[in-house]
Amino acid sequence: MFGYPGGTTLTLYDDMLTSKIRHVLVRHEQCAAHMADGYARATGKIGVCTSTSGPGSTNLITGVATAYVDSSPMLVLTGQVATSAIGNQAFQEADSFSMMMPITKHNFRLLAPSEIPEAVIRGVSIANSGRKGPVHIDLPADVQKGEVPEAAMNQQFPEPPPLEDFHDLPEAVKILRAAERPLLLVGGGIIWANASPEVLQLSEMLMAPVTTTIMAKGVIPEEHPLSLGIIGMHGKEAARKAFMEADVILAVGTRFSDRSSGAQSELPISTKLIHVDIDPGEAGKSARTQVRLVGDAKKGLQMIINGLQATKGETAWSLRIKEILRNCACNINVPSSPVLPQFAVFELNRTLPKDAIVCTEVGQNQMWAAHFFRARYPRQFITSGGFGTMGFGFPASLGAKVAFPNKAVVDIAGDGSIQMVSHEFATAVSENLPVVVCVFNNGWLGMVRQWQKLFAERRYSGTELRENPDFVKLAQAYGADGVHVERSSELQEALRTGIDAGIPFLIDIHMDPEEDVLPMIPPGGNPNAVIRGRCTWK
Amino acid sequence: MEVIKIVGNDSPGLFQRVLVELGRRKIEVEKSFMAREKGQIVIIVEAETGNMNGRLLHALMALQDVESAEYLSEDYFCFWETSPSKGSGYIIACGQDKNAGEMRRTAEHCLYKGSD
Repeated sequence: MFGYPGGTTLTLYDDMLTSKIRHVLVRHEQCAAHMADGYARATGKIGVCTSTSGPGSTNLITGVATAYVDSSPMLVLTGQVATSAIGNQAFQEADSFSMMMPITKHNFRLLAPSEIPEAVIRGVSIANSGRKGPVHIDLPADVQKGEVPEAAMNQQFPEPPPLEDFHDLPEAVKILRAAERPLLLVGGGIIWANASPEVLQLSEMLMAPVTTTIMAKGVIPEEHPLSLGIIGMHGKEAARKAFMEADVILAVGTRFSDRSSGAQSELPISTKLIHVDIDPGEAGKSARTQVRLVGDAKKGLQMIINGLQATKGETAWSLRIKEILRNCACNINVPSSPVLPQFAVFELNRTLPKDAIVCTEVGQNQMWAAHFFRARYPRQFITSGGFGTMGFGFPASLGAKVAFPNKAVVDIAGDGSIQMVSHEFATAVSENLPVVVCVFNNGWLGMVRQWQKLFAERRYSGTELRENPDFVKLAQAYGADGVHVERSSELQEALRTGIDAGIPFLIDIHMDPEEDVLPMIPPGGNPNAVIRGRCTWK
Repeated sequence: MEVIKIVGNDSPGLFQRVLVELGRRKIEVEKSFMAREKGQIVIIVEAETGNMNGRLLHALMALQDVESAEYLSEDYFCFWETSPSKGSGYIIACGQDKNAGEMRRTAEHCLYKGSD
């Protein structure tokens, strides 16, 4: 449990002294939510965070919203003023119940101790079922102090049956069987459903390439010959090409966000779209959908695999995919000074242990990592894909490190985002969570600068980060360590030192602010109007 | 304009949650009616549902404690009566024949009617 105590959670914290729950004391409640989220994303299990009432609960909100948008299961416990004081603008009172409502799957405001068992049992169940997400429980101080009646403790709360609709499965199988150029577009729902083996099996059965949203990065090894990498605004050109050339697209666990698959409106009219999603409000979201299936991705894919049965060998389409992948070339082994961000990711690919977990912040650092990092397994790449929360990566990496203390855990950060959460070095040191933070330091809020450069005639406004601190000294002030990297040749040794340091470690990598995240499809623009950078297309 | 009827378990905040769900989807609620009785809540909403079509019902059904959500094709009339001494009650009536059954009874009780 990640949290920060206060007057209204004194009882909760007192009880923790006699429980087996590990509590990680954060330095800001927002980071408690991000850590719980990072723990959930790394493990697939529910993360728990807590705060006091009022400012404690409002500080949690960004972290809860981040988890909600990316469907991460979380139990959020907030203290509340005593029930007799609710509604009187008491000290540290906020209507957390209402504020959390639009950013949680469900929430409970408890007005009696007898309601606690139902809220906790159903809360965990709701967070972990269907489309996963955070559940909030608001706990008034007097409710925490009360005794829970024995009868309430023994109550049963059976889970409702899942919302499913697989009626049109035979039609989906028929379309896939007849497909000449099938493609799998998979999103984060695959990760949450633990359906990666089914994606790989189906892909190889159909000889269908797989492209992922940023949330599903690593769902199959990105070095697999049928992996096209991520699709979207900063995605792989190969993925976009194959997406446009496919005659059947099987989309699973993806909600067709504007950043990931906006190009669907440009698909040829003959392209058939099959959409499988566990959220009935998302399934069939695209107007192009021909078959809509509602249910768990793993179950849906298994049913499709059983329906198809036959396996295809090499096809004209699989040969075309090889050609597409050959044509999309990115040479990122380009040593330089200052360091190129693409090279920094190249070095991470080369140096990190194969099972290392990589978290990112949001902005250019995130997109360079998403594009160039070679993920090998699900849950290896953790990022705030939907909400785009700067300051997510570092606390999320601490949550992942709590779950996997023996794995190397790295946060790829920008100099803007790390300053939102750098105080969590205190948590990292005090809780013995030796993560490595790689700061892609270019002195700017790089992604905003890039948009100002490309789409606003270089009218830079509010984006230069003047007077950045010495990040290494900052880390050292907390009892962590670090090193500056000015040249590409220094990076490998710095990474090895950081991984072996045994304490939190920051690598301050100096970068050229003129380097942009490319390729890029301009926002709202034609997907064919790609701005290319170091990636070429033959 | 569509009329939607949502029935669910009367858990705290469900009416608010339904309105929040509609609001976040840019659906403007013109009128709404809510009544709670014996652990159940009935919500009638008149709204412009935009391009959500059938998916809106699925989204509402996915909310915790919602048991059913349906578009209503008939004319509906919601009547609520209350008094400090006699308590309160409500009638949700529908039908083509406004002079029959529940509709007529509702109309007889009605103290206020809109222009139409």
